[in-house]
Amino acid sequence: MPIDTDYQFDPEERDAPSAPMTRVTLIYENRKITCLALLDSGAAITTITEEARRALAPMRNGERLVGGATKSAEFYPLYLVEKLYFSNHEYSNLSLVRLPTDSKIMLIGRDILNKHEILLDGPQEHMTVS
Amino acid sequence: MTQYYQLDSGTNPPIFLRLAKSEVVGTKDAAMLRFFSSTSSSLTINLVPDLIDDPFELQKTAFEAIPPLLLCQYFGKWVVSKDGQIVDSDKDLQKLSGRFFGVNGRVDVYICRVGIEEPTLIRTPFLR
Repeated sequence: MPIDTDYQFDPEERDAPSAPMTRVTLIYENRKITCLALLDSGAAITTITEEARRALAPMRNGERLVGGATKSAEFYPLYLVEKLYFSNHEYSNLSLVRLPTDSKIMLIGRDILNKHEILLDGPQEHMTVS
Repeated sequence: MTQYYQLDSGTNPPIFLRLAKSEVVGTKDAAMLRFFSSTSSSLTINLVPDLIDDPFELQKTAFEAIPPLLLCQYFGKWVVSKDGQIVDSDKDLQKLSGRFFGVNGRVDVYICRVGIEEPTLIRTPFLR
C-alpha cells in the first residue's frame, strides 16, 4: 500500500520536531518484524536495528565502510534481509548495515528512497510515498 | 552438528574443512582428524588449535587469503567471495545482493568492496 500518513514524533527524542517515519516490515526465513523507520535523505544506505537483528537472526554476509555525522568511518557488518516491505514495494535480498546504536528506529536511506516518489508536506506534517 | 576447522598444513590459501564433531578426535586445543582404512591402519591429520566455528569469519578469512593480483579486475566493485573464490561482482551492492542470493539462496559468503573504499555517509548522528 502507498504511504499516506502524518509525521510521527521520535519516541526516543520527544522534544524534537515530528519526522517522516513509517512502519517497515522485514522478513528473514520465517521470522518477521515490523520496525519504525525514518525516511532519511541524509543516509546513503538503509540500516537494520539491533532489535530487528536479534528478532530475525539474519545471516551476516559482509562489511561496509560507513562514516557518520559525528564519527570517523569504520567497517560495520552487513546482514541479509530476505524481504523488506516499504510503501507498495517488496524488496528482496537486501544487505543492510548494522550501526553501533541501540536506537529502535531504522533508517531508510537513498538506496531505497530514490526508487519512490515522495512528498513531504512539512506545514501539514504529512507525507505520501508511492 | 558440524563445525569449521582449518588444516594445519601451512597452505596458502588455507584449507578449511567442515566436519561433524564426531569425526574429530582430541580436544578443542589439539583437534585431529583420523582416517581409517579397511586394513585398520589409520592416518591422522592435525588441525589448527583454534576452531573456526563462525561461517562468516571463515568466509572472511578465505577472502583475505586471495592474492591481491587476482582481485585487480574487481577494483572498485562489490564482490561475493565464497570459499576464497570470487563468484559474483557488481558496482551496486543491492543489485549484487539481490541477484546472488536470489539465485543461490542463503549460502555463507563474504561480501565487500575491492580496492580503496570511500566511506558511505550517514549524516544522521547514530551514536546514542
